[in-house]
Amino acid sequence: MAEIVGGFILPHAPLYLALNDKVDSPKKKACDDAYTQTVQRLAELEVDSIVLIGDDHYTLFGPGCIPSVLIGIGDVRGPIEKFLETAERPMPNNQPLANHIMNYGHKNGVDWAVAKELVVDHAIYVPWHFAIQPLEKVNTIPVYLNSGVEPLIQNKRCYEIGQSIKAAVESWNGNERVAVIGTGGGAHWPGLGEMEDLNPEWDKELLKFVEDGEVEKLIELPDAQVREVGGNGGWELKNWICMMGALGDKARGETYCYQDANELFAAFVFLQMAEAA
Amino acid sequence: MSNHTVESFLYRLGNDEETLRVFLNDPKTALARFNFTDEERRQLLEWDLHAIVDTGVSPMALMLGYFAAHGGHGARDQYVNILKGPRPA
Repeated sequence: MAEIVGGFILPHAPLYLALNDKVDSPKKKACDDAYTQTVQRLAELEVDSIVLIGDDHYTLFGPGCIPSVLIGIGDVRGPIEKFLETAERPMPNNQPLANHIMNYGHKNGVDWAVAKELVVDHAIYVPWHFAIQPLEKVNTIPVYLNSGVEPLIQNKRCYEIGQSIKAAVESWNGNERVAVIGTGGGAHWPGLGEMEDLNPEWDKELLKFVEDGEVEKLIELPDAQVREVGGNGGWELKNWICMMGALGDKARGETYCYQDANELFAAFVFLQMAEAA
Repeated sequence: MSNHTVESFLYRLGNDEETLRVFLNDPKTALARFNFTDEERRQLLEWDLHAIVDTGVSPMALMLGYFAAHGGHGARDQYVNILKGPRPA
């Protein structure tokens, strides 16, 4: 039986890729090491498939169609943004399992929007580039939640979608070892005057909720309050909530790296979930 | 205020070469193709970023539209400085 064997929060800050060989700082180096450590952790878990949860930044889905929740069930490529200065490349998917997650959801209350082909943005591409691409034969199923462009998906719904992903994986007749990764988050203000600001105190307050498995405290945060304190980028905590829904109530988080790197205009969160003893 | 229309226009600046080309050559003609109010047209012609943010337009659509109309992501500092600076009189 397939099973979810791990959960993570990873950063997806685009400038970490775009400026990767141009920024040299202790905090950047710590992030480099944390990505290397993530590769090792995924390898130790013997993961072969990853559900990677991100959000569009108005680079994939235009105002003509803004899906609340979307799964990529076909060919996947990335990145779509030219400013990342990274050649577009294929990103292997686990299409049978992606189809199963979609079908399970459709029969059990999650009306997934579906991409039969998908060119992902930095939210999916950056963590894939640094944490998954180095692993051999690990497939990636991309999931997009609308945690970036209003009207936003609701926090509780993100948790339910995570639960559906978990139930789908556990009802799959394959033997996959699956990790679920929620990407992004931390306070940031893309497109606003505060877009070079960070708020590490707020970030650590949220991370404590994840570390203690208190997902309900994340779910109850109003979107308006999050925007006020953590910016419109702070809404990406919805990606974390979805991951936590997929890991189950017994999972607790271990933050193995946190860097508020002003030189890269972002906070970088590296956290792994494990079942409480 | 039809901020959805403003958001659509900004998205097109970043993703539709024809809209961008016309806007760069003749902004008023480009804007005339959309159902804007006079105030919305002013905000876009003057790039009154503070006022546009206040309408509730997606900040990411605004940023990417601005970058497209100002030569790309190199306009980042200029964009931030406008938003951090004083509002136009």
